[in-house]
Amino acid sequence: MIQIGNQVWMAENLKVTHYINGDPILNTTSDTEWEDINTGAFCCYNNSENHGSTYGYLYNWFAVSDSRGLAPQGWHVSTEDDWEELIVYLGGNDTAGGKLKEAGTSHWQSPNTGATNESGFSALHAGCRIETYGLYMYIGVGALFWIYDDNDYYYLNNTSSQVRSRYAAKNFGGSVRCVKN
Amino acid sequence: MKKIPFFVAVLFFSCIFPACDKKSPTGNNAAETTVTDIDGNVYQ
Repeated sequence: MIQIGNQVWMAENLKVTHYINGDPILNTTSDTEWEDINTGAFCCYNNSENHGSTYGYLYNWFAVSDSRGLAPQGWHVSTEDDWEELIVYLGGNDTAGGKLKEAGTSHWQSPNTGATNESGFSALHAGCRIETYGLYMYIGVGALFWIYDDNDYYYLNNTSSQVRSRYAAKNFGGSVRCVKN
Repeated sequence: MKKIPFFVAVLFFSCIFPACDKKSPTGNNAAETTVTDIDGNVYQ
């Protein structure tokens, strides 16, 4: 965990398989099921547990927003306000991404522009699973983090130091970071 | 061979190895604890 300004963030992506009440979250390996699903689900990139253990799991927004909760007690899935506060603290959208990314190219693909990890956030290129055909994409080049409030995500990539937000379908699969309450 | 006084040795090593306060270059502090999810995964 890392304190950034007045916030405390987890320094790695969530990889929980149960909601807080103990109900299991559906692990969907089927591409067609992922494409059509309208309930909470998660997956490992390329259905590889090795990827999951390193980069965390990819969740659809139905799981992220489920009232049973994903975050451990005393924590919450990051919100738009959390991200905006983080970005302002780190100097704005054009440079904050570099300060959030793990530095170097041992994980991120080259050039990993502007990556310093000055924040300690240690964002990795976990990629995503898109709603169309349930395809896995962007491992090595993109980190995409859901917010709780709405089906938007914040993303970083290997060719810029920016962090931006974007709308996504609810059955898009992205990473989750939690913030201490 | 002369013995080095204890306080000199302490002073010497404290200069070479200043205490690490876990601060990142932006002045952010590594939090002191970990958190465990319902599956037992421990997060840094």
